[in-house]
Amino acid sequence: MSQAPVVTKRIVLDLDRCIGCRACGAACHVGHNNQTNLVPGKIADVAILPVHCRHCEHPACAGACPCDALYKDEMGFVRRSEILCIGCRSCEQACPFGAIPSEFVRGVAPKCDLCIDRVLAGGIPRCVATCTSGALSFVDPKETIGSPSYVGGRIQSRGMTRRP
Amino acid sequence: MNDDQRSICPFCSMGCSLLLRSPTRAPYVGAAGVPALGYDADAPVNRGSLCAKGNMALELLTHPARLESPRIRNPEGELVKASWEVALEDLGRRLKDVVARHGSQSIGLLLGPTLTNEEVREAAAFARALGTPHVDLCQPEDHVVLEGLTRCGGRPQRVESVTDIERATAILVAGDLFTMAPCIAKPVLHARYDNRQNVVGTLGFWKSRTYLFGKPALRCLAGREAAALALILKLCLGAAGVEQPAWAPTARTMLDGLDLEEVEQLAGLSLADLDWLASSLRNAEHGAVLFGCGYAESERLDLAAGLSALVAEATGSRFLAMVGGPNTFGIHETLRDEGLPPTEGLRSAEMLAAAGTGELKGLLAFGCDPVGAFPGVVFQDAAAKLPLLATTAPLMSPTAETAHVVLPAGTWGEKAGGVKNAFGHDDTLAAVMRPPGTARTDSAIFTALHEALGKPPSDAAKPTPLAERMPAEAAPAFFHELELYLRLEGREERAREIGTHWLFPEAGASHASDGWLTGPLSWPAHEAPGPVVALSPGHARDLGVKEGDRVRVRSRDAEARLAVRIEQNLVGDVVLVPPHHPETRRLTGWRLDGIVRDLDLRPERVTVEALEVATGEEEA
Repeated sequence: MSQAPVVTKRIVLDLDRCIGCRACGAACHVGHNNQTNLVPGKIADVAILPVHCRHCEHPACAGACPCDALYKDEMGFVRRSEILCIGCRSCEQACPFGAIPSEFVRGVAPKCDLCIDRVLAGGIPRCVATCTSGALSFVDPKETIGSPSYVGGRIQSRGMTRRP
Repeated sequence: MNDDQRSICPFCSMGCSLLLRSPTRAPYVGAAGVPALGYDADAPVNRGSLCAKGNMALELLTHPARLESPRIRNPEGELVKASWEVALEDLGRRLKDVVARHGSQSIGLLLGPTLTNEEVREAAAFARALGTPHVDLCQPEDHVVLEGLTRCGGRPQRVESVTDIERATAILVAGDLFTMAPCIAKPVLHARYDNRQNVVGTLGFWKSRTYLFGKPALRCLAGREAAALALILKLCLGAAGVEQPAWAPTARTMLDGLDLEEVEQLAGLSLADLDWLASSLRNAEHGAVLFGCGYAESERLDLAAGLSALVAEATGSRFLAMVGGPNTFGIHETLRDEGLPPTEGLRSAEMLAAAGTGELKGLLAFGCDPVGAFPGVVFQDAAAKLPLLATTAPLMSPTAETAHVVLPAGTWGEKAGGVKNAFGHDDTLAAVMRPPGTARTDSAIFTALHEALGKPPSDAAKPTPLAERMPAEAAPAFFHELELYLRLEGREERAREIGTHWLFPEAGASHASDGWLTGPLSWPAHEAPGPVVALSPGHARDLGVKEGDRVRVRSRDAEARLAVRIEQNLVGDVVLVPPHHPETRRLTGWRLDGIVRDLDLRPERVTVEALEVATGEEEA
């Protein structure tokens, strides 16, 4: 079997466009056998928007998992083994983004798999495909960071830098 | 190789495309033998988007509660399973009995908004064979919108594809369109953020998810969209470079004769507030007016729909009216082609009212749920009095619960046929599966009913198609009605109204939970498990209740005990409820308006009281 490609694209949310219709959650729910792998985040009751797994470079959830059920694979995806997971909720506590849903289905942690079946077939994740307002996109984060509208870029230009 | 089948989302008039991906093709996740859902990125209407409901569409095909065999009511009054032969014979006998006793005119046919154009033709042929003129679409709110659009006399250019919205430099969105049809958000927001000069005005009575995206966001008083739109029309009349429509002089005379301050007061918006939006619409090369007041958001839904069409025509903008039924436009047109009502037969609301007074003895509901769809005690109790109520349904519904004969019907994905969406495009549904068990499609049921009655379908008696109803006197009548509304109608009425708050049927996950067709699906059950009432934070504080507490909501006809949801964006004297739970549906006391022969959609006044915890009432 040939080496799987490294996928650098991630799900990026444009806050300006999200209308909070929750179609992304429904698509995830349907596509993953009634397990919703993204969190409906609430901003002070003003807006509801999806919180996705970032598939971090150094995932905190993987470090917290006592069973090594969470790991980063060769494609760059943070994955969860359904067999090894014991549903202890350590990852839910560890995730700095709150991207592990608190509703555990079938006794295991719901975990975004970037719709690996679709992405490997050349598609995009379900939540991005279904997004009704064009808020979600599946892009390389470097593209977003390079764009003039990226707020982080503007902060950086004032002399603030990311810690190594 | 591409063996994806293209079909249409069965849940609203937007007509979004979706793909049915063969189980043999990867990527595939789904139950055995059922196609998986694919997103059609090239679709002209939705570019691949699907709302929460659309994502659920396939679940309908394999739902465990799907009806697989007919049911008839036995002498003890219980619904029991029966074979098709027995059920059809029972229905035929009851039908013949009603016809023999009361005449064929005492039978009404209600058609569901999911029927295809072909099925509607067969329904019309069946009605002719039966000899009844009472055939109508059963989708209460859509009726009122279509009626307003017909009566106003405006003929604006339609939005033909989402490109018309994307390239617009000025857009007016009336009502909470993004809740009603989320898939329209993509082109609207594209126009909103594409160019800083673009103006996307939203008009609504609370900070809904559509309102919040407005630039300018215009907030009228609860339910007064029609008054605000009348002011916008006044500002938009006589736009340069637009040919004057035939109705314009009438409109100008009427609007000039009004006391504008009074209208401003009625609307809660001043002409100055609306000026930016109106002048942008007037000057825009490509403008668009999108109407999406759903579920009786507006006091006068018909006037609001008509006025938004007139605003579009006066400014040369494109116009799109969104309604709830996936084939409402197609059914309306097909019935007109067939020379059927709404000229001589009863309309759907009248049929229900006639059932209550005993004028109508039999009601056949094909693919619809009149008991659930018509809110209010008046209509809900009427159906129970009928000597004959039969329905075809894919799932049990309130109508099926009260019916004498229930025939299991195929639904979307199990039947092929033509539909027409809000953009005016004809599209086709694809059949990918057979109906479950012994269920049949509505088309097959019509054939079986002809046999049971012993009367073949005949085209002999088919009347000539009605000309498109556009009488010359329509527009003056519309403006007369508008004048009455803006001048005094309601003001005395409102003084007599009881209750402290306006009840609007629209809350939270309404797009996820509405309807008997979507209610039983897993996501709505997960998202909106029970009926709630949404209160503004100030209102909740006054009542001394917090999120999750139960309150008593009392309207003119009914009362309900509902859990509280605090909605930060809600303002003023408004409470929201989800539209399709039986408890909340009963609160809305819609009546039949004898003059327009349709529902009087006035929003309900309700009183909200905190329940005393000490008495232990809330366990009920």
